[in-house]
Amino acid sequence: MTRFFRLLRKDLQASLLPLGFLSGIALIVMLFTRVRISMGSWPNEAALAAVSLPLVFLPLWLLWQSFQTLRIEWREDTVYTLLVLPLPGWKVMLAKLAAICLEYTILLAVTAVGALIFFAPQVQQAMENLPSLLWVIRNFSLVYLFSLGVLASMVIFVQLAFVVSKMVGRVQGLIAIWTLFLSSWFVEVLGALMEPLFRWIPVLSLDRLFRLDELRAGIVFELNLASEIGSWLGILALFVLTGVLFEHFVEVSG
Amino acid sequence: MSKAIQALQIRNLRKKYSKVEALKGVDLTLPQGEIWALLGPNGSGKSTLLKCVVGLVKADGGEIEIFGDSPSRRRKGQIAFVPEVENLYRWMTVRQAVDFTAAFYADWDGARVAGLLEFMGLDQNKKVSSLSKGMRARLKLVLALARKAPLLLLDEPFSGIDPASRDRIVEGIVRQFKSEEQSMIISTHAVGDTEQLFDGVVFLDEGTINLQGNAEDLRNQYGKSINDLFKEVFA
Amino acid sequence: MKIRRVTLIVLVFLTVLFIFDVRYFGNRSIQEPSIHFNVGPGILEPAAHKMQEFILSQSDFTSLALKGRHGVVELRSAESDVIKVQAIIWADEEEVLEGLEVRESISGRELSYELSQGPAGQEAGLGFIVHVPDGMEVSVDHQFGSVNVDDFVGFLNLNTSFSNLNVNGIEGTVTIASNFGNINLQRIRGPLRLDNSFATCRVGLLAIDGGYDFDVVVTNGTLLGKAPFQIGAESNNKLVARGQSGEGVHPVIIRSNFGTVSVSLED
Repeated sequence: MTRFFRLLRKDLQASLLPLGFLSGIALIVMLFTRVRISMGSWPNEAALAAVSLPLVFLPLWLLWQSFQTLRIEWREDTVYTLLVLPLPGWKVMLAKLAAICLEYTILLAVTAVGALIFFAPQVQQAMENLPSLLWVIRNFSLVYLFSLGVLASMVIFVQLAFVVSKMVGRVQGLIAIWTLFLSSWFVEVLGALMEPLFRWIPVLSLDRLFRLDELRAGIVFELNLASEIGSWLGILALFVLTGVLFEHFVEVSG
Repeated sequence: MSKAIQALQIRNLRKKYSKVEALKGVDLTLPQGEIWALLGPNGSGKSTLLKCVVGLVKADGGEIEIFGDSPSRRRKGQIAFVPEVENLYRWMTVRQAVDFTAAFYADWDGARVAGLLEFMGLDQNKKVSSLSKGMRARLKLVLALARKAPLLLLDEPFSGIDPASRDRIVEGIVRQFKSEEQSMIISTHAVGDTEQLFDGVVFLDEGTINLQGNAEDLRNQYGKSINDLFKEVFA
Repeated sequence: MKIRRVTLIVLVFLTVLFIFDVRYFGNRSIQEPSIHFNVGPGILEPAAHKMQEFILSQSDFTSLALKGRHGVVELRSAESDVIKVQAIIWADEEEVLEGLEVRESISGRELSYELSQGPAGQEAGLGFIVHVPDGMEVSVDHQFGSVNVDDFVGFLNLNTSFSNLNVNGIEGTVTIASNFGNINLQRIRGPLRLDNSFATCRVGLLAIDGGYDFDVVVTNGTLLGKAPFQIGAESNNKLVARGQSGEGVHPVIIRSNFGTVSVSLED
């Protein structure tokens, strides 16, 4: 097993308890909703709310988790172990990022399986209004990938903010929040500044990618990549910077 | 004639935390194949010095050379560091902690670790969180000694642990240390019966070295044991 | 100590850059968003269609009202005395089409056209090709299709939803209420009132004697412009542009929610 996967496994194992707890909560909420719907106390639409609830809550929890996973390393002094490893800093950060992405995937899968088990009739009804099973799978996969990208970007901001906060002596919380703010401003500015360089890239037709015409004709859903690419490069640069800061500049408390 | 490469060479090392000057221009040389003691009371700068060497804190000035090179990722991989704090993942079992550490170091000696665990009386299936402080200190030492690292830095390995664990740790060090391949610094604020371990000693007080040299020479020069000398210097 | 100081210096430097950026390069929300979402008209292929034509003299009427659905409305005006309305009805099946017709009604000096009630549950559409004399008042109510207006002189009232709106050349007064559909208004000369939500609107005005008085409010959206107005943020989600060209005689009032509005004034 490579060093990276050992780190990833460690981060995943460390999150097993909250991951199990959250999965359990999501399933219990769905089961409870199913029972209430069966009893006629709640309308069928409650199923949608029960499935959406974890999906809305998940990214927020994962962002908190991305902060927490670093905070615990410092609080429990295990950062001494991480910092003396003969590894590039980005690998340590990438392992944490990948762990968060995997946790997101696991929790999504649990929610999806829960929805299929507890709300089979509602799912079947919804499927009848959608073009085909293949269409659903394809679009869910694409939405998953897009959301994963957004989540990963946010986690990178959080990681940088945390690492920078550990490079100052006082008001670390405020510094972290301010760094979070400045980094998002930075990638936005970079995107705007680099936009003219990438104007040659055609607009990405998301409606074609998602085959939205099969759902309803006339939907136009476009993504102008020119103004996004600079921001993505900025996020990548921030990730590299986080790795460098973690490996070469972060200190444990004196 | 070429100059012999030292295991560790420190020149004019300085470090300041806020208003406290932890290291005020420290010079230290650790010859290869020797065990040196870094002695001093609490807050004398011992931990800061070792942390500077492994890169856990960044020096404000001065130079550090590890086997003739400035600190790098490669050199980091040649140092086995046992910090004063408990840096173990508490949710891991002893076996998991061993496997985790083994994955990162090319100098890991798988054959050596089983013997060390047995010698230290550590149950591989026990969770780190369920171990006593002394047992956790033993485990930290096992994770360092199971490597054939050319440079070992032990920060307060005897601090706050029971006499039984202390004796085991000392014995473990004596058994595992290979003087032809390894060099070691042990920082401590209590010399006691560990005196026989050391080839050399450095007395550090308030970030400044008061006295350093070969242990035998110092004993002969002052006509005292290192322990008595320690008491006299820091009285 | 050195690292802490350098970190703080870098953060302060970036903060200064940030303040500079906000101060001198304005609010970055006043930029075209990279994601465009628009539910436009459904391009449904009619299985069966028929046409009805109405030709009337203008002298009897001052206004025309059209009510369409699922089709294209083409409108233009010219210097003539004739009102010509071609109505295209379509349906999924011929049988359904047989039971449908365009109803003409006259109320005072207002002429109006809409589809008669067809069989329940059957989808049917109605589009128009209309030529009117200059100076008339024309009202179009249209859903799920598109409305194209070219070289129109008069009073125009458009009420659309899920429809794209393309206007190229108007001299007169324009009032538009639209939800869900792209709006592209070019070569407009005259007062304008535009209310829309969930749409991208491009408004190109031509210079006019007396000038324009701009009053633009965009909530939860983006506002861009090359016109004599000042864009400012009234609150986090509300952008406002107010200003005048010339004496500010002709009002240009735009209210937009969840959309992008771009206003330009050609000299």
